[in-house]
Amino acid sequence: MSATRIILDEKFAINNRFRVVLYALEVPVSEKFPNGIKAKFVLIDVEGNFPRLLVDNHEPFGFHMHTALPENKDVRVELPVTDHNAALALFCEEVERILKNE
Amino acid sequence: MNKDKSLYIRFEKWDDFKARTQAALKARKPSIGEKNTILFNSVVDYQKFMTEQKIAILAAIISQKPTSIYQLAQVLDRDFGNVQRDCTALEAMGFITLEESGDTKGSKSPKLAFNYRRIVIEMPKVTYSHELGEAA
Repeated sequence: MSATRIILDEKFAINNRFRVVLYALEVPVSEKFPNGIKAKFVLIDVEGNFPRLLVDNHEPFGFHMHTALPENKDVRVELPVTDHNAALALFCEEVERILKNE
Repeated sequence: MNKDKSLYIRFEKWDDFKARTQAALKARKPSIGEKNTILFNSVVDYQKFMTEQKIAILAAIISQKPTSIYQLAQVLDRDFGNVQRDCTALEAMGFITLEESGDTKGSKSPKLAFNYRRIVIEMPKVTYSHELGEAA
């Protein structure tokens, strides 16, 4: 039986208002997680301690981005990627776009 | 048991953080942040965040052990809303936790994220020189 293990568990204050939290778990390869990675990348607004942006790949979706947080958790934009590395790169790009528009 | 009662503030550029974490994920080589460390993008960002009022909150949590934010605001003689806002930010950045105190009012009890007694700020290494030969 394959064990799970933490691959990424990092937090980073990108400025005095936002903190990035990156978490990735190596899990057994399955239909649900074809790359064997369960990931969650979050941008947190520290002024209210709520997620402003979230990328994850839980069931029944592939990698998707929650772009209307904190108001609407059900708004999901499916990402055109199946690879966790590409998903992290897209998350970082979106973080930079949000910060530029603040 | 960790006997070092320090919380470390360290600095890393966003581009370096991105490159480091993306490389770790690609190689599936674990990259796990230290629990006693908070990473900031720059010294300026840390200084903007960590106001004197927030330092006073951390000190009061240690010395007064308030059981609620309301009590903490009283100890500090500050407006409750402002103290609550500062506590929320301190929690989000990883300096404290706000635990349900279990009373009927739904109060939250501020605690340090771990049992630290000092914050050590590790400034980025700076190399600085004067070219004396050119000035002669």
